[in-house]
Amino acid sequence: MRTSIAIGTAKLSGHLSRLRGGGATSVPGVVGLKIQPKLVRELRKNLGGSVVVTGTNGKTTTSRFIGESLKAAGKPYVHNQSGSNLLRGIASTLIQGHPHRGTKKPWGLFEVDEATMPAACLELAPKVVVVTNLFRDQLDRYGELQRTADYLREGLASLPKSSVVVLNADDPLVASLGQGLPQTVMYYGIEDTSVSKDGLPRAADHFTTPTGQLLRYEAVFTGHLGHYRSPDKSLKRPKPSVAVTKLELDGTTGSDVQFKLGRKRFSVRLGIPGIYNAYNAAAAVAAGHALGLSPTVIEPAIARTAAAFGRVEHVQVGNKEIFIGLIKNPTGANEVIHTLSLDKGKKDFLILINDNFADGTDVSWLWDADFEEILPQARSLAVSGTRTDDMALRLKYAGVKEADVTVRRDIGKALEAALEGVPDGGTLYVLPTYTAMLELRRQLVEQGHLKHYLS
Amino acid sequence: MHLRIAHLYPKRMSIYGDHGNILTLVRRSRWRHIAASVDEIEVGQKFDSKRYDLIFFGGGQDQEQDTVAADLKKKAGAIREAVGNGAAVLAVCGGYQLLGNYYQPAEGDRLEGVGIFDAHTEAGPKRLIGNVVVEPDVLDLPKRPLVGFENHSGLTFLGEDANPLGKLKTGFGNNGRDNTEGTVQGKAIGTYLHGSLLPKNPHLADWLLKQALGRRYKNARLGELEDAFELVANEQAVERFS
Repeated sequence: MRTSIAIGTAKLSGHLSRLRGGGATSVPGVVGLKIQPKLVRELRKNLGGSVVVTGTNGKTTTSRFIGESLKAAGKPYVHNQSGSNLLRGIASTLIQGHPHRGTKKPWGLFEVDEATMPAACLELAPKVVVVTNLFRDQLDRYGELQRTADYLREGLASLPKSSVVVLNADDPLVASLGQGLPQTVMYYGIEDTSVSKDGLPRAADHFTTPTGQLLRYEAVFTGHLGHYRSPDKSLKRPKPSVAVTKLELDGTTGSDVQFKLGRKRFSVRLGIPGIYNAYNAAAAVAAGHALGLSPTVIEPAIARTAAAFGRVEHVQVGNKEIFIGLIKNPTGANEVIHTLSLDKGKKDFLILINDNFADGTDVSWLWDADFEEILPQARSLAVSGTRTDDMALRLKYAGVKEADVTVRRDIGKALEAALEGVPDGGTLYVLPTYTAMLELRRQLVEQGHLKHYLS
Repeated sequence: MHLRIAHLYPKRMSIYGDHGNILTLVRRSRWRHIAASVDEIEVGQKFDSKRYDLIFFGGGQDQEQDTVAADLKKKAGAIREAVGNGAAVLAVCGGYQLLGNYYQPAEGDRLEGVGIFDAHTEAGPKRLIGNVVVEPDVLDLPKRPLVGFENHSGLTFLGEDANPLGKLKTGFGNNGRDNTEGTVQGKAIGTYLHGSLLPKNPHLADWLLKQALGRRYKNARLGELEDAFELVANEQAVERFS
């Protein structure tokens, strides 16, 4: 009774909020949970089961890969929008997806904020949980990385024994979450060491064993992800059951990936570029396998998955192009920089740094990212956003003269000016933080270059 | 002139953009045609008490801090000697805590500190996180505000020999109670400010450089630099956060 009142009121509040012009993604959840705190637990009965995806980078893209796979297998599903990954966002999705009597139960596919993992695992009892990676990100919210890992540990501890936990073997902190779990644990990782970097980048978190030893790496793929072991061999990378056995990176356009799943091998052309998206795809292959989907279903599904909006995107603007590569932490930024450096020629850059809550209010990370690497490829450099001046300063200390950085605090004006400087047929490389990307997209929609974002 | 910097434990203790501080010290030296070199000193490596003009010690996560504290016991004598020999010090967050007299965790025994700063730190009940603006009060340091970002749970209390780096205009600072931030003791500065600290506070960067060079070059003078970006970033932060 309480549950149906909660759903009715929540749906109504969502309608009202939309009538008033609000975005309304979390309003029904907030209202519903207030009336019935156990709402998520109640509504999960309407699902065929659920998949939870968490981690610092790649939640949204991994979810999209999994979503396409579910669709290809003929399984309908509900999915929370990115940016609504707290419990209220999950509740909103369940309320809106509340099925009519007699229809097939949909699956639930949820991106979950790391700090929400304890509540989400308890309330959803998901069939599959995917942990992508743990990087230094938004420490202004969580305090420390170990604390973030503790949230995940707490969540995993409440899972039913029948759940499957999918973990990144190449991330020592994520892989360590699998130790001692009674559930089936599937590890995924990259085996192709030809894409290894020379060593740990400055932005990498250095992990130590409980006895304080630093890990040694034979290969580093991104950040602290790679082939590692502790000097005393007490800690080593688990052997992945889903492995990327070949990886050919093709700049900002995509990459060719060969997967090995058990004894089967299959190759996919990913339309989403970068080493991190090969990881996301591998996570989705493992999750798909855990859901009982065959590689023949998963392979074409991940091949046709498009990037989540604004993460990596090419937008046509007249006879020019804009490449958008979201940056939100040093490792993510380094990967975007590395990926675009595979495109040939001198480039025009626009870097947009905001410090709103969703971006993280601490911009110290700018000093850990390797912006030095864009200098040799840069024809022009422009900066904007609420932290324009911090970014300008970062470029100065990377080695750029003040006169060679274009500074405009207004994102719209900065975009206009930067685009004007791009030669016909050329590309403007835009690196925005999350809310700067939303602002950029709003500008592009207003100017008619992009349609409104629909799921 | 040649500035020799020791960066203590960069692998374990350089979270939150502490690299920006090193970059700033090195660039601002080289822009003035002063050579600068940085030795990274990790767990198990020797610290040469006679070599360094400036010691930088950044912040880390709690787990790493335990390993570092254990190693620091072996280096404590040499670090005190270096400071006695006139080395300047910048210690941020975890480094600031470990160079104090001691750290008292919520449970268990005190971690002995190096004792460069007459200060001690106690584990606090919650993390103190956010933007900080400080009015500095340091001899020969211009009064321009210091801006940065803090993220710590330890609460630091100053003893009689330690003066605060300055008074808070915004933020929690040393302990969220006495309105002070950081400390200055001779040529040594301890602070909770990340951000990175030095790029946006060029006056503090130059103060440190001057103290450091003064160790071996008696008449060291620092030429003026074109600090347009630095000063705008400082002013913008002051305007937005105070």
